[in-house]
Amino acid sequence: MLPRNVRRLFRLARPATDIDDEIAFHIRERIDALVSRGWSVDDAAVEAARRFGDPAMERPALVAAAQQRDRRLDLFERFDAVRTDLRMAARQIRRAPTFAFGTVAAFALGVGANATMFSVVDRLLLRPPPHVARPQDVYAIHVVPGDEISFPAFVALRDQLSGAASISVQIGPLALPIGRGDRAQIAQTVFVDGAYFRTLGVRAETGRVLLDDDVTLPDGQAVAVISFRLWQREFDGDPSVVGRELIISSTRVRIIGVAPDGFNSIGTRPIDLWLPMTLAGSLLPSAGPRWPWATADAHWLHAIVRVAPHVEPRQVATLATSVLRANAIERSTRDTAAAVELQSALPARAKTFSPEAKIASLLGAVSLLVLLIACSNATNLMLARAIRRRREIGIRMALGVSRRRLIASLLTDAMLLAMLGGIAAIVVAAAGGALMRDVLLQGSVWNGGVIDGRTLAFIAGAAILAGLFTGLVPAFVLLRRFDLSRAIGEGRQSGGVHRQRAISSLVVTQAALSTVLLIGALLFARSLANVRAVPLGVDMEHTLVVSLDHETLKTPPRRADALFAELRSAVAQVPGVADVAIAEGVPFSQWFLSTRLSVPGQPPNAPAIQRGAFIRAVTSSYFSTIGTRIVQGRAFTDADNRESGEQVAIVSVEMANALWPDGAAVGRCVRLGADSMPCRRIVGVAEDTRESAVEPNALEPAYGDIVYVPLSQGRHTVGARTLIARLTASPTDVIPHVRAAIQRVEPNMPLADVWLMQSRHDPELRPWRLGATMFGVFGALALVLAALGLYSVIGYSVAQRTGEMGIRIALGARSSDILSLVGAQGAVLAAIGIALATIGAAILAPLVQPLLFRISARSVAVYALVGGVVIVVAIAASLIPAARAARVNPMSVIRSE
Amino acid sequence: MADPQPVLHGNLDVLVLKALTAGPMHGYAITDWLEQRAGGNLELVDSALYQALYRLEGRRLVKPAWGVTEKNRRAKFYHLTDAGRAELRAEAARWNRYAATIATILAAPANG
Repeated sequence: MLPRNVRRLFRLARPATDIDDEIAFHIRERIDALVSRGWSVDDAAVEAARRFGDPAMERPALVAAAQQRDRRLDLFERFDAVRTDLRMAARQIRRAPTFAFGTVAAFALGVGANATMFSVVDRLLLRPPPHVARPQDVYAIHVVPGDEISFPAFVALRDQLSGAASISVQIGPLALPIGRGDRAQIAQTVFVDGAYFRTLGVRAETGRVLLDDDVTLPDGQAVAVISFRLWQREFDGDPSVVGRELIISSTRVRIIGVAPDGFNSIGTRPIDLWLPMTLAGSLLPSAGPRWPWATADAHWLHAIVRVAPHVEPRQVATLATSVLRANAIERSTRDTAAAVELQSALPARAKTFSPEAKIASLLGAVSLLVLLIACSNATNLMLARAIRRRREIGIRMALGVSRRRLIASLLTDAMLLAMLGGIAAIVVAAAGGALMRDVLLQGSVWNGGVIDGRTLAFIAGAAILAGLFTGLVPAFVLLRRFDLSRAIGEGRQSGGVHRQRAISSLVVTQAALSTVLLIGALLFARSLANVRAVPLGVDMEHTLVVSLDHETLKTPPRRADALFAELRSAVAQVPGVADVAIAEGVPFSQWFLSTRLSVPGQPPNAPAIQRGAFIRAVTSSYFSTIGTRIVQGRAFTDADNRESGEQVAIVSVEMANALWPDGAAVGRCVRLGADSMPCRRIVGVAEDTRESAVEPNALEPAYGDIVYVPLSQGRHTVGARTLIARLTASPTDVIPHVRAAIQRVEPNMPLADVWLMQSRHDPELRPWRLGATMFGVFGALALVLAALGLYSVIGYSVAQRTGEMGIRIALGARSSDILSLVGAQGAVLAAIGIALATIGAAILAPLVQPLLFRISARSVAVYALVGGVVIVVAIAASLIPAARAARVNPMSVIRSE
Repeated sequence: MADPQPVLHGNLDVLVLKALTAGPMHGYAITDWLEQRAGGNLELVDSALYQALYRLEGRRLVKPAWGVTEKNRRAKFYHLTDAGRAELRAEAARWNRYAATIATILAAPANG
């Protein structure tokens, strides 16, 4: 080592003098040789110079050659150094495999978690919608309030925005059944206008896109553009798919083209089918007009605009607002005070993020914390080890090894571990990505594999940064104010105070970070519990709903009655089904059958009467099947379910209280629909039902006003008719049998939608469930890492103080004294961490509060509980080394000093 | 006797390696050693020898160390490294093959 270093010191001066010495020696030897053969000294000198070559030319050439040699040797040397360092790092790993495994695992989890979240955020927020031309000019129109626009409004906007922006609309996405029998499946479908693909600037992969002629009123063409995914899945990517027929519900359409791979309009959810808007009339459930979507009242259309290059988006929004208001006044519809907002098609520029994106960003921040903990843990262990090696390092420095070389070797240790961690992180990210895709992005678009080039680049970058951090921090802590003679002289035992402090502060950081994460976990878990505790008025877990394809239901009511009677008895025989009922307009079915109402003796302009109500037409077993309690009066009986019987009704608590604040609804009467209808006697009051635990029933004023009537006395809205069943066995076991039973009754029917009520509520619970799970997992991981860090710090400090402990014991200290002495050290570090975490969490609280439900982000109970857990874990982690300290044999220690 | 042949660039390297198999030598000793064995058939330019030495050193085939000669002069002695020995073996084999090939061709009858 030494000679190279010395040589390097003089490198700049060396080659020239070196060479001159060498040349001079050579020429003197040559002259001597010639003289000894009888040459005169003068002649010999001339000859020797001639033999050497022209010095004016040769000397610079030799200097250049020498310089090139030195450069090459330098390179060799550096390469050797790296190899040596790597060999030494590998030896360190072999010597302490547990340490290496722990560090690699920490890196793998930290980097892997980050890579997972990066890949999710990348897909949700960073990438523009694929295949859309110049997506920066494309905006979604949001009408506040209400979001969607009506067809007449669309026509008005199209005409009056022309020049400033081109506008297109879509209905949906909606789930429609395609195919028959075994091949039947659900396709996410949007109905679009003729300019849609032109507005987005999307070309077909094969065939053509929808054009104006396909969507001309009144009927348009029965054609479809299918997604690349559907093309691959159902047609094996066969190019002759264009021109083939596709059965949607029971409508036959011709496939005219395939959309490019990954095109999903401007959203992130997959779309399988693009159909002309003119088909919406026949394909969408409705008992109303021929083009239900085209009336001034039907606000069904999502509008998108492409803003012209020279136009400000704000101008378009202002113009659209005035057009919309003028149109609403003209047609006396609701949008008279509406305002238009433009939302960029670029996810990163959108004003409001999707819930998935919000959660992903939050989890991204959380995973960053985990990486920090992993890094600080690894740093901590590296630092402790570096301090143990202080003597060796001191000796190496005394031998002339430069600081740079020492830092490089410490860095190599860390880098090797970080790189191994990075490789393992690829596996973690692949698993995590798959999990995220299934849990967070259920049904969302995810093209290609979980790990792509961008994610790999991210992993590499994160691993390098982690390695740099982990390697450089110990190097600088160690080499700052490095006292050579002390390091060598004092032996292996004691450590510097400031280094001890560096390790302790890392432990405090870890305790703080894991406390913050656990607080988050608990806040989300409590939110989830609170959401689940909100009564929805329906037994969500045990109610199965069978909704049939509405085409099948476009049968006359009599035929439908017979079909449902058959289905009912078939499903009732399925094992695991306890009760069966038939109902129109059940919760979560997306059917709201509204009605006008009047009450004798109450003014028709009373708000409760003005806002009307929603009808649910049900059979007598409905309430016991779905689990909605009757709080007053009675449920329906089979005797009620006769058209000829007395006209009766049951109302929801909210409706009863609104109409009869005296609390005596039973026995009163309410008239539904026209004034000529008979007044229905109210026989019972049912508990309120809600479709959302979070939103108050305030979306529409009458959302909670429900009036139940016997099915046979209802309006026979067959499209809304469903079969409901109460399950006594696991849904996954029962559902296939229910499907089979339905198939046996009606073999030719398109896919029946069989769903558990809970499944329609799960999306609402998902953010909290996800938050609780991820914070919980990460928080537990962080706590384990922090405990390990604390364990090693206390263990290290106990090892340092073995002598002191021995003396204490010799002086009469009992084991319990030693235990509490050492245990207190851990508790103090943890307490500092918890204090910092509490402050941090309180500062971060406003960021998290909107994501919580009925719990304060500064809940004292939550903070206290987490703090208690962390303290207990910290004390437990320090008691193990403390017990070792208490067992110290005083004699052997004092002798060895 | 024919005129001395100039040593082609690059060929000198293998000769230097060969010379050093006799033991560590300084530059002049290498020249002397080669000239003795060439019997006056090779014409060496001395500076080219040093070019070759630096080249070999840069490839870590030889390693220098300053020492003192019998006449008590300070000189830089070069010795072969393990890599240099391996290189010599490979190069010598290549040369022998080459020479044998040329010899075979030259010995062949013109219209055989």
